[in-house]
Amino acid sequence: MSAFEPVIGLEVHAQLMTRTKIFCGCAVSVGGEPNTRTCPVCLGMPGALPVLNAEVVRLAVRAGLGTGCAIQTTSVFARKNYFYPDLPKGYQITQADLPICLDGQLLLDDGKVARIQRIHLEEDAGKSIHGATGTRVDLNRAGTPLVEIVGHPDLRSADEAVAYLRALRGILVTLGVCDGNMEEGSLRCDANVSVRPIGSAVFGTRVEIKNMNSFRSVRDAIMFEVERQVGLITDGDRVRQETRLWNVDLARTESMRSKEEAADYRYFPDPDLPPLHLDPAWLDAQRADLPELPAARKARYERDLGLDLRTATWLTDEPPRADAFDQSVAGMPDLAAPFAVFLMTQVQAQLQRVERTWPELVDAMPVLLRICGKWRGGQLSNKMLADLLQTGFADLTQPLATALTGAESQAGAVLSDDAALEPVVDAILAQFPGEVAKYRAGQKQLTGFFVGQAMRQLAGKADAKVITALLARKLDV
Amino acid sequence: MAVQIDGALVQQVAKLAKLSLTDADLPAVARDLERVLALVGVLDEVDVTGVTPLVHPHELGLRPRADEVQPGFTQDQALANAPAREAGHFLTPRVIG
Repeated sequence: MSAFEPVIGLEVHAQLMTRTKIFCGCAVSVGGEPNTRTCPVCLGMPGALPVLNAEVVRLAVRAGLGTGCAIQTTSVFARKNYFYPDLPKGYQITQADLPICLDGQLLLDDGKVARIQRIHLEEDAGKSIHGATGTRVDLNRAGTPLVEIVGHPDLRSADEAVAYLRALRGILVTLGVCDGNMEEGSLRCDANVSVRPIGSAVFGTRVEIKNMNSFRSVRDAIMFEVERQVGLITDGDRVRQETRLWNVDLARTESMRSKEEAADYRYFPDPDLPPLHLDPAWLDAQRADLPELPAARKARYERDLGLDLRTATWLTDEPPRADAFDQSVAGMPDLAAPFAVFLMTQVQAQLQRVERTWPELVDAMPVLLRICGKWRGGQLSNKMLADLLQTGFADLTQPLATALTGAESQAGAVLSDDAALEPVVDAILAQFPGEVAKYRAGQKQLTGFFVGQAMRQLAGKADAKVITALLARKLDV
Repeated sequence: MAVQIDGALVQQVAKLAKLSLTDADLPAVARDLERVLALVGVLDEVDVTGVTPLVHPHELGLRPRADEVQPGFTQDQALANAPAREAGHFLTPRVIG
């Protein structure tokens, strides 16, 4: 295993967030009745002519600028010819020799730079559902605008591939290019995977993996595939060039079709669409219109707020979350770092238990910040905080912000005055004379035991710091 | 510049175009394709040194449209020409194993 290294390149399809399809005025949306968002253009009827959607161009340019690509002032649409029931025209309009963006790069967390070969525009196909009576075709999706982002084979592990995809997704979501939803297929990832002996300069035979619709699947599928290929080679067999599908239930890749008989798509420039020319002044305006990108945001979190890389990355991964975070902590630099950790640990743990969504959490951010502040300031004990969050997140009858505010007022106040806590501490010390003796003999770590006993007596509703201070006063004399 | 077209090449082109040709068809189709290529091949005689290739006959750029929804077909209109339909879908012979 260790004698080989994986060579991985990703091809990512991102659905652009437009109102209408790429070449016609039909609405783009998910769900609804089949074949209710079509017209002569996207059904491929004779004589119908495509007209490019201006917003598609703007979003593709943003994707290119966000990934450091050179935007091409002239690009050309081409026909990719093949027959399939969900492709009404018998060809897909895409870009071949002259795509809209070339030569970009992504900065990964480990400091590595992964190169992007190109970004091109294309239309999506319809949806085929294979059943007993035949294949059903829904053409609502036909003509949905996509960018395909083709990466160089620069990635050397499954984790690096995931880091690349995360970085790319963060940029696309931040720029409003794509909603980044992998489960619903608005962000799709194919991986080209091969292995070679470490130190070798030539590539091995590559396999294309499809059907990975989560970060987890991308990681698992690549790891499986690398192991499969290394196994074949060490057994004296060879890797066949083919397309394989990730089967998430069986956790393995399965052969889909052999690529040895290479497909011949007979690309040629689409005579229906003249070249796309971009005005350099308009391009400059687009460049000036870019918001702070995830890499810059992450660097700012590390530099200005003192977040560690893991927390900064986690926060940045969901741009709406990071936006809400930035808004809530504005003017409170001291609370920013603890609040980020609070979100990543305590709040994230709640989200894994209940059916709450990130948009709700974004709305509740100011309330969460207030609760975090109280906890940090000792007005809420750990136990009270845990109970409060649990109650608030579990109450699905009202918006999260309201539920949390309710739980907050029920939580009451923490016991923190000496007068209330001293009798409890005295009682505990009287109850455990043996431990008191051991403590005095030098076993200072018994403080934790005494605090725990006191907290249990007080049902967790006390300030542990005050109890610790009381204990020190009584024991360290 | 004459291009030699054999039966295997004709079959491959036919397959890509989803045409069914019998072996008896092949010699005639091969001859036709050779003549077509010979006709287009006349262009090879033109000296194009220093000429930038055109991707489109007129170099005017395309004029994009605004991203506004336009009314399209109803489901019935969309499926009107379909030889077979099922539950609002076009129905084709099963295309996968």
